[in-house]
Amino acid sequence: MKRQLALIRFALGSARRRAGRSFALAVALGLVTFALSAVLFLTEALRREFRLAAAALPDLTVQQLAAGRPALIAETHRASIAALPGVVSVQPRVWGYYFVPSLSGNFTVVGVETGSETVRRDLSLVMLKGRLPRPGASGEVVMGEALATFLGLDLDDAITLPVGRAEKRLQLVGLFRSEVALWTADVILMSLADAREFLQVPPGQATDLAVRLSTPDEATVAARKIAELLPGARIVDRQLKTRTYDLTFDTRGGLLGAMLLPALVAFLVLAWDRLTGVGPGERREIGVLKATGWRTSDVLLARLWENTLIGLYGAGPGILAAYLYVFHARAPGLAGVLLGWSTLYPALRLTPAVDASQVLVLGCLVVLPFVAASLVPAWRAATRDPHGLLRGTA
Amino acid sequence: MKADRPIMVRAIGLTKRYPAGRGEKTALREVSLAIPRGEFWIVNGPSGSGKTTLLGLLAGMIAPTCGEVQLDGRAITHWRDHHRALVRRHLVGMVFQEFALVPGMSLEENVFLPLVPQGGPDRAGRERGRALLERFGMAAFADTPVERLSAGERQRGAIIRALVTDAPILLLDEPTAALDTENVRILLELLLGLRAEGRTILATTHDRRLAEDPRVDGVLSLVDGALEP
Amino acid sequence: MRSTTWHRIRPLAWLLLLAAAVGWMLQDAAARRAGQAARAPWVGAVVRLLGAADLALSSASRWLRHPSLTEPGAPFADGPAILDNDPAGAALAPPREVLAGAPEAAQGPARGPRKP
Repeated sequence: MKRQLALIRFALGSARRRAGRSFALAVALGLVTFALSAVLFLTEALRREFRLAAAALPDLTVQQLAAGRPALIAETHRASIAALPGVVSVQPRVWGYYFVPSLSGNFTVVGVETGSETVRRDLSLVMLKGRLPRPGASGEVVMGEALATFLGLDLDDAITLPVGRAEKRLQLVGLFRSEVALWTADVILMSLADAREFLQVPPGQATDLAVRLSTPDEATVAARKIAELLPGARIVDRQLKTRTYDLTFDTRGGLLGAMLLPALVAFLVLAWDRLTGVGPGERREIGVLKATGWRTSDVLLARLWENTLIGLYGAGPGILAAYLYVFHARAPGLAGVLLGWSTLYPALRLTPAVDASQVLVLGCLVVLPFVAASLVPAWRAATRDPHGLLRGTA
Repeated sequence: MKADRPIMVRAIGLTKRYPAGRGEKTALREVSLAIPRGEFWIVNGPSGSGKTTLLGLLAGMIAPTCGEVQLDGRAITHWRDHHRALVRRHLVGMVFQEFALVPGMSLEENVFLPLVPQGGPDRAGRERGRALLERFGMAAFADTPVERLSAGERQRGAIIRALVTDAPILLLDEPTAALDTENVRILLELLLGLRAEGRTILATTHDRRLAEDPRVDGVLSLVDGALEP
Repeated sequence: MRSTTWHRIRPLAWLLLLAAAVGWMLQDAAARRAGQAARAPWVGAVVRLLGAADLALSSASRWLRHPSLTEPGAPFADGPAILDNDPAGAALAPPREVLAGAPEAAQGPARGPRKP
C-alpha cells in the first residue's frame, strides 16, 4: 500500500512535469467519454420512462389484420374474448393517427368514454389547465401543450380540421400537464363518438381491443386462446412491447455508439502515438530511475498509474459534463440525432437512470482501453538499458 | 592498498563489445580490477577510453560480453535485471556524468527518488537524507527545482542521492567535469570524508586535479578500453 | 515550503473534487428518481387513457406512435428524411427477438401471422 501510494505520488509528479501532453490526452479522453456517456444516459433514461409507464399497459392488445396490415376489429369479438378464463375485461379502443400536411406528420387521436368515472378521474389527474370534456358533448378536446402551441391554440380556442369531404370543429377545453408531455405531446383526446367521426371508424368497429387478465403471467396462454378464437388477429403482449422498445433504443443507441467507436479508436491511436513517442527527456528520466535502483516493474507501474490518473482526470469530467448536458441542458443536438426527426417534440425532462455501477462501467470502458494502450509503450521504455537511456543511445 | 581489507569491487576480465556498422566496437578489453573496502580509487583515461562503460558494468546497468563483476563478494553479472536493480538501490550509489537529476522535481524529491519503489523514505531514510543535505550544505535548497541549481550544487545533490540508501559503494563518472577549481576541492574533501566513514569509492576522470591528488589510494589508467599495467 | 506542499496536494485535491462531483451527480440522480416516483400516478393515468406507453418522440410518420402495434418492422426502418406516413416501408425484417416470446400464432414472417 505504501509502495503504491509512493508510486502514485511520483506518477502525479510525472504527469505534472509533462503537463502539456497529460492535458491533451485528458481532454481528448474527456470528449470521447462525454459523447459515449451522453448517448448512454439518454437511452437509459428513455428506456426507464417507458418501463415505468409499461406497468399500466393492458396485458394484451388484440388487433385485426387484413392482408397482413392492421385493420379495424369488430367489437362483437369482445364477448367471446371476455368469456375466456382468466380474462378480467376487454375494452374496445378507438384511436388512430391524423396526418396533417402542414405538420408533415401525424398527431395521435385518442377516443375515451368521457362519461366514465375512471376516465374522468384519470383525466383530472393529468390535466394542467381547463376542464374535463362534458359527457356527451361533441367537439371538446384535450391536447398536449406542444401540439396546442404548434396549432396556435389557447384554451377555449377552436380549430376546424378536414375529415373526409366534411369538416370537424374542435374546441380546446383542457391541456395535459407538462410532466406527462413525453406521452401526450402529440395527442388529441376526445370523446369516443368524436373519435369515430374524426377517424372514420364505423360503429361496431374499433381500432383494437385492450385485454386485462387476472394473472398477467398467463398472457402467452391467453394469447394463444384468443388466436384460436380469432384466426388472422395479431395479439401483442406487454412483454413484447417492452422488448420492442428496448430493441429500438438498443438499435439507435447502438448505431450512435458505433458511430462514436471510430472516435474512440482514433483517440486510442493518438494515445498510442503520444505514448510511444517517448521524448528524449522522458527516456533520460526512465534511465535515471533504472540507474538509481528502480526495477522494470516499478517503472511500468508508475507509468500505469500516471496514465490511469490521466484517464480519471479525463473521463470524470466527461461523465459529469454528459450528465449536465442530458439532464440539465436536455441534450440539445443529441436528442434529435438519437430519437429521429420529429416536428413535434416534447420537452425532454428526463429522469436519470444513472447509478454508481453505470458510472463505473463507463469509466472502465474508456479508461481501461486507454491504460491498456499505454502498456506496450510503457513496457518498451521500462525495459530499455539504463546506461543507453542516460547516454541517449537506447 | 591494504592487503587485509576485503575486496568490495572486483572485475575479472571484463570485456564489452557493441555492434558498430557491419562489425563491432570493443569498448572494454579484458579489464580486471580489485578495490578493497574503504578505499578511494581513480580510473583515469581520455574521452572514449571506456570509463563510463566500465562504471556501467560495475553497477550492473549493462551486461558484459564476457567477464565477471563481483560486489561485496557477490557475483552479480548473471543476475536478472530486477536483482541488479536492487544492487543499484542498496549496494551501489552512482553519480552520473551530467548528474542525471530529474528536472521539474525538487532537490529533496530527487534525493529520495531511489526510495520511492519501496514506499518512499522511512523515518531513518528521511533523517539520513536530511542529515546529508545539511552536511553537504544543501538543506536550504531542498525545495528548489534542480534546474535552478548551479553545477556544483547539482553535483552535491547527485552525491546525496547516491548516498541516501546508505550504499557502501560509491561510483562517480567524471565528477569534476562541470566544476571549477574551488568546487573540485570541495568535492575532493567530501569524498575523502566519505572514505573515512568506510565507503568504497571509485571515480572515473580525465582531470589531473583528481588523478594526481596524493590522498587517493590508487589510480588505474584506461586507454582504448584496456587498463595500462 | 507552504507553496510546495500545496503544489503537491493540488492534484490530490482535484481528484477529491472530482470524486465529490461524481458523488453529487449520483445523489442528484437518486433525488430525481425519487421525484419521479411522485409522478407515477400521473404516468399510470395517462397510459390508461392512451392505452399505450410509447413515448411521443418520433413524428409518427414512418415509425408511428405505437411502434409495437403497427408494424414490427416500423421502428427499424428509420429514415429521418422520409416524410411518408405509410408504416409499411420496412426495408429489413426485424430481429427475431422482437417476435420471440410472442404467441405462437403471431410468430413467423414479420408481416403476418402464421396460419394455425
